[in-house]
Amino acid sequence: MGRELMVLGLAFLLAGLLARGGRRIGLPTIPLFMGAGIIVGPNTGGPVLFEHPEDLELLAAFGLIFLLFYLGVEFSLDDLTSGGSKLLGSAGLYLGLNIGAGLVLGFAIGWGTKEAFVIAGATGISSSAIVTKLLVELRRLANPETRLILGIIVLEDLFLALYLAGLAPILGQADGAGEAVLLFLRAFGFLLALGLVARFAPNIVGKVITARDDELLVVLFVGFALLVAGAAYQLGVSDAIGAFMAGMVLAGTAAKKRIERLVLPLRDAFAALFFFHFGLVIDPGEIGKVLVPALAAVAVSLLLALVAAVGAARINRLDRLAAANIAFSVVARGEFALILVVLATEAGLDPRLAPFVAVYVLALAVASPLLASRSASLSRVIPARLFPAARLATADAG
Amino acid sequence: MPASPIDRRDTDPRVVRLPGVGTRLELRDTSGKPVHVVRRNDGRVELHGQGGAPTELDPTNAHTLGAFVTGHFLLSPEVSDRLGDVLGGLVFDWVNLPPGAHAAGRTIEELAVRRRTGVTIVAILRGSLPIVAPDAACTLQSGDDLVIACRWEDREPFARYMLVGA
Repeated sequence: MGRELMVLGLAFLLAGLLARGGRRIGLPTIPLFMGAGIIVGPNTGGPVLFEHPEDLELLAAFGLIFLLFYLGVEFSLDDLTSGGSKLLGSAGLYLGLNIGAGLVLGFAIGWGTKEAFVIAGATGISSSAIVTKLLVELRRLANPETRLILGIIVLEDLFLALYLAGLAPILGQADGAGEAVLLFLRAFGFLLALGLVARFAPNIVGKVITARDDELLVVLFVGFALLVAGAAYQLGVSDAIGAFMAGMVLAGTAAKKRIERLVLPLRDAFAALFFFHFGLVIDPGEIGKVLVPALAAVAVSLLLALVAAVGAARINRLDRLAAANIAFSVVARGEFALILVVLATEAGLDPRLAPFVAVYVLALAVASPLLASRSASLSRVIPARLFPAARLATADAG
Repeated sequence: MPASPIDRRDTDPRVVRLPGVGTRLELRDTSGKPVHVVRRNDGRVELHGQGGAPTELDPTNAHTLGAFVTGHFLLSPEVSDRLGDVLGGLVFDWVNLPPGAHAAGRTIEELAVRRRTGVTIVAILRGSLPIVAPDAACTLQSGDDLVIACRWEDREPFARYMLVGA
């Protein structure tokens, strides 16, 4: 028991200290948490503090659950609809290009059909965590393209929930088309049921999950989130979607803002563990086999980010600096790719997916902030004549 | 310096939600240049003005600035913190009832104000007489100033309902 506590404490400290060191050079925390896990995991030489990563599995699952729970609580359909058709168009363009290319890439890599869908999702969805932190740190919250970037992120969040539901039959290992359809229907039924509750009856749930004391509210919403996530898992839908929907239901209650505030520390602590645990199970020896496809995926993602960003900037009559800002922010990958691959691994898909996504995420999680901080100079590579309708040039204020 | 927002014709202040980050208020200064204020979810406030790095205030100083600017210097940070926890944020505003307004001559109960608009009329200013916490049988009159507590987005629908009944 004592040993387990120390091991856990060390996990947090290592992850935190490494991430803190990295912050000084502008690196986001996700790749550093993963790095800490890789370094002290059983698969690398050097100190092995965690011989049995599976001991941390339940706690790491909390990370996944609270990450998506927070997204659900924070989610508001208004954020999508208030942006209008331009926002939806830009977000749709970005998502369509990336998922489409991800599918092509997935099939080209040739590890299997199911694996191709996982690769498509992992390469298609940006890391909300990194993007939002980036925008804050680079002081771009007043920029015209910031609202657009955040709108893209929100649409991707919603898409992820639907995509995970759609993958249920794939990840649920159905025997034959009939059972696959059943799993699919069950997943969507679950989403629909919770969606209806979220839309039409949040007050009923709000009467249960409420308390004047913050302490009690925390206990109640944690219970609710875990219960719904677990139920989802039992129904063959991933616990991640369950958590997301639980969040959406609570988003309609009067306690929403308080829950948003109270869940943050929980989310941060367990999410760190989630990424750390992922690092633990990565075997760097496997990386050689996946290096080429992973780097190909990185190159494709960067290219498509630029293309989609130019398109989005044109739709919204922004200039090339805005396009560069958009491209290098939303190319960040992180928590969602990892969530997908963890679910895939649990479902017994090709084990090469894990190191593939690890390399992919590490590369882009590091590249994105480095590129984004230099987007002013990098934007000069994009021809200005691609933006004839740009109103005013965005100033080079970072 | 941020570019001017796209497709805006008017110079009214605009509130833009930045999902996952906070809320942005877009104003113009007296020479017409955009001034943006961002209230982040972590409580910090950024003031973006004429180029250069934005000014950042911690939550306490942000509260102090806000209270000072509105002249209500006595509003303590703890109070505005608690108010901020309310769903969507709370605003106090008032709506004047001109002659011929739909609500004039009707009681609060008849209008079913809370049910229809989600807004609470916390006081009525009638001439020099404030009626605080009016009860449901209170009849609204033209010339009344209805003081309300509601969410930002409920102001317009409430005003419309009071004036034209839609």
